[in-house]
Amino acid sequence: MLDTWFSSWLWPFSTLGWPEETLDLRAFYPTSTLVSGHDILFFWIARMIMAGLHFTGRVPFRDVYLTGIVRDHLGRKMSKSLGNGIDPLEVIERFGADALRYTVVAGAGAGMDQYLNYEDLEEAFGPGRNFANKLWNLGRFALLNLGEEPRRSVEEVVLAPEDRWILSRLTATVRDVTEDLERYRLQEAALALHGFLWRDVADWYVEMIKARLRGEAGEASAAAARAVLAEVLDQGLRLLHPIMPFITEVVWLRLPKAPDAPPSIMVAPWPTVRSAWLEPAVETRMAAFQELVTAVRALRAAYRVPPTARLELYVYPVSPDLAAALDVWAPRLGSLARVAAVHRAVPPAVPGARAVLRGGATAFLPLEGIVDVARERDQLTAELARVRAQLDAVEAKLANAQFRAKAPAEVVAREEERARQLRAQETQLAAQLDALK
Amino acid sequence: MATEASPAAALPPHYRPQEHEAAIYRRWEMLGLFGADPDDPRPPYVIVIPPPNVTSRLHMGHGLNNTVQDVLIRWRRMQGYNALWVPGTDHAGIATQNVVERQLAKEGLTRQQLGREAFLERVWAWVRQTGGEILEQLRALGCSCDWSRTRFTLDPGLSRAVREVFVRLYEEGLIYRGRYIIHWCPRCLTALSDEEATPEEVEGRLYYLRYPLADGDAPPTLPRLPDGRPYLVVATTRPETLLGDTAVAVHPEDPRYASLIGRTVLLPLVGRRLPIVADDAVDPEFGSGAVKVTPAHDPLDFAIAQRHGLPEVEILTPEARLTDAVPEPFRGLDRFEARQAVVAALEAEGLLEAVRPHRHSVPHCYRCDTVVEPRLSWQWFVRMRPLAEPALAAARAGDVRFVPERFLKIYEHWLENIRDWCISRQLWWGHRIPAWTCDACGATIVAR
Repeated sequence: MLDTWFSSWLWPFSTLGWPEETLDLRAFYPTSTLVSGHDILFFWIARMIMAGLHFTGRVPFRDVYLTGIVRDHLGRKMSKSLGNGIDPLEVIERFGADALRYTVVAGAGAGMDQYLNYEDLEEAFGPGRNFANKLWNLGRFALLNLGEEPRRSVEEVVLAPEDRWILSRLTATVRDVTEDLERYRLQEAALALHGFLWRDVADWYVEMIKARLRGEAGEASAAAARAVLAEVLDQGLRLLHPIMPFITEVVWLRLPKAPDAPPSIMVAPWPTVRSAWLEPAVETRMAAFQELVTAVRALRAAYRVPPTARLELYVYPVSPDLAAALDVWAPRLGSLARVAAVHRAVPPAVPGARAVLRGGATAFLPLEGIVDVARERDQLTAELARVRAQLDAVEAKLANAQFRAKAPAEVVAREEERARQLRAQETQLAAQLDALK
Repeated sequence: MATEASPAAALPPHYRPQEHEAAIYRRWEMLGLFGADPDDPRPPYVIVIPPPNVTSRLHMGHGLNNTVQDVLIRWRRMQGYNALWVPGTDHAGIATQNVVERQLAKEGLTRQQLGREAFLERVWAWVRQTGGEILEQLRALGCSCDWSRTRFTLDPGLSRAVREVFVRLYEEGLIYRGRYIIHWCPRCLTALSDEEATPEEVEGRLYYLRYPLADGDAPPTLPRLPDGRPYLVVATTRPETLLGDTAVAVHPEDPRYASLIGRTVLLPLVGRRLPIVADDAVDPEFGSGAVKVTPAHDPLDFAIAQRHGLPEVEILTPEARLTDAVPEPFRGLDRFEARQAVVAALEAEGLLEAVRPHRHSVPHCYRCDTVVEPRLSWQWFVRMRPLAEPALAAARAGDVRFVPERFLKIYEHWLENIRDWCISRQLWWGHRIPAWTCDACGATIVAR
C-alpha cells in the first residue's frame, strides 16, 4: 500500500479533475492560497509544490499561510491524552460560531501559536460573544431609529461634524482592513473592526447622535443622522462579515436597503475607499474632544463624584483643535460627561479637580459641595511630600561635584531628566492642592 | 427567520446565536452562494482545504485553520472574485487503520484474525458511519465551501490520479524499489517515512562491550581479559543488536587500531568470527573509536556493509522479537527483554566493560509513539532530488510566498537536504501500489 501522503501531495490538482483536462482545472488551477499548520510543512506543503511543478508545470498555489498551533493556557499542545482540549462544537453551542471565529482570528497572527484556557471557556470566548452581543444591540438601536422609510443616501443630507467624523473613520477602516487582509494580517483586521464598531460607532457616534435622532435638532438633522448610521452600519457589517458571518448577516438583512440589493451580505460588494470622506482634520478635532470627555469621566471617577451630579467645566488654554471641537460639540458634554456648562476660562480659586490634556489644556471641575474636599486635600498633601523627598534626593546627587565628575554622561543626563520630571510633578500637585483650597 | 429587509422585523432584546446560525447557513446554501462556475469570467480566487481525516472530529486546530480559510474566501467573494473553496477528506491510512484496530481489540480481535477483506469492510463501514461528520461540523463553523465539489482521497478520480502519478514517476525512473534500512513501527507493522519517525530525547544508556580478538597476537596497548586474551571495546545504545553483528569497524587513520585492520574478533554469546574493517564513516571520537557493525538493523552499518561486502543477519521479526538466527536462549524474546538478557549474559562472562547514562534521540512512531526499529526491507522510494530542485527554485523566485516569510528558510533547508521518500506502507487501508510481480518469471509490472 502507499503512504497516505502519496495521495495528499496531489490534492490541489487531483481535486480539480487531473489527469483529465477538465474545465475546473483550466479555470481554477493554480489555486491562490493554501492555509495550513506549519507542522506539516514537509509532510505535505513542500511535497505538493514538488508534485505541482512536476505534473502540471506550475506551482499549486501562490501563497502559503501558515497558522500556529492552538495551545492551552499553560502552553501545552492540546491533546486527547492530556485532556486539555477544547471542543469547538461545545464552543459554538454555548458562545456561537462567530465568537469562536473572532477569538481565533483576533488571538494570533500568522505563524503564531494561540493560547486558550480550556478550564475557563468564558475567559477564552466571552469577549467574542460580547462583541456579537454589542453588534446585536447596535443593530437593535439602529432598527428602532431608522423607521420604515426608505434609506436616504449620505450624499442627499447635510452632514453634522460628528457625521463627517464617523464617515472619515469608516473610510480609514475600509482602507486599513482591506490592506490588512491583502497582507494576511487577519488579527489586525479583526482588532481594527472591533475598535471601529464598538468604540467609534457604538460608544461615541451613537451616543452623540441620540439627541438628533429624537428630533431635538430638527428633522433634517435627524434624517442626516439616520442616513449616516445606516451607511456606517451597512459598510461596517460588510467589513466584519468574513470574520463573523452570522451576526453580520442577521443585522444586515434587516437594515433598510435599495430594492436591488443583493440577497445576502455574503455577496454584497466589499466596501471601497471614498477618499472624499477622509477628513483628518475632523478626526484630530474629535480626538481632542474625546480626550476631554475621557478626562472629565476619569476625574469624576477618581474623586468619586456622584453620577447624577452635573458639574461646571473650565478649560484653559484652549488649542485651536479643541476650540473647534467645543464650538460644535460643547452641548454634547451634557450627555457624554454630565457637564452643566463649559467655560473657556481660568477657573475661580475654588477647590476642584484638575487634569492636564495632551494638547496642553487644563480641565478643571469645581468640587466644593460635591465631594469631601478635606480628604482629597490630605491625599494630595501626602503625595506632594513624597515627590518633594524624591526631588531633594536627586538634586543632592546632582549637586555633588564628585558624582558629576565620575558618573558617565548619560547617567548624569538621566538624573537631570528625572529632576525635571519631578519638578513638573511637584508644580502640578502643588497646583492641584492649591485648587482644592 | 425573517429574510425580508424590513426594519419592522425588529430584533428581540437578546442575541442567541443558536436560534440564527443554522437557519442562516441553510439559506446561504439554498441561494447557492457557495458554488463557483468555471465559466464565470471574473478572476478566480481558489483555496483547497487541507483535507481533515475522514473519521476525525473537529478540534481547535481545524477551528483556527478553517476560519482563516473562510475569512479569505468570503472577503475575496465580496471583492468580486470567482471564489471557490474545495472541501474534502483524507482517508488517513495509518490513523484510520489504527482506530479500527483499536475497536477490534476491544472485541478481542486483530486485523490478521479478521483477514484483509473483512477488515477493509469494517473500515469502510466506520468511514461511512462517521465520514462526513467533520464536514457537517465545518458547516456549523460557517465555512462557505462548494460542497458540490467535495472530494475524498480514496474516491475513483483521486485514485486514478494516484495511479497515473505512480506510473509516470516509475517510467521516468523517479520511483524505484530498493532494499534499504527503513523506519519500522513494530506495533503498526509498517514502514514509516523519515518524517513519520519523530525523534524524542530519552535518558538512555551507553553500553561498553568487550569483543575478544580471535587470532594471533596483539599490540601491548590492548587490554586483556583475565584469561589473557586481548580485546576491543565497542560502544552501543542497543546491546541486543550484538546478535546480528557481522563486523567491527574502525576509522582508517586511527593509530590505536591501525595494526588490527584485517584481523578478526570473536562475537560474544554467538561465537561468530567478525572481520575488523576500516571505514571513513566511523567517528574515532565516539566511545572507544571501534564500532560494532549490524548491517540489518542500522542504516549507517548497512552502508558500511555495502562498501565491504559484509553479510546481513536479520535478528528481529516484524514485531521486534528475536528470530531463529540468534542462539537458542534468546529466540522469541522481545527486543527490550533481549537487551536485558544480552547484558546479563555479557556481564556473567566478564565481557561488559561499563554502562554509562547517555541522553540521546530515539525515533518514535508519529501515530502510536512506539519506539521505531531500523529494519532492512524491500520498499518503494521516490527519488526526491530531481523534484526538489524546481521546488526550491520556485520558492526562491517568489512564485510561492510563505506567510510569515521566515518559513522559507525552513523549507529551503529541508529541500536542500532532502532524502528519498519511502512511499510503501505495510497497511491494508489505502491506495494499492500499482505494481505486480509475475509469479512465473518474477518480473515487476507497473501499470495504470
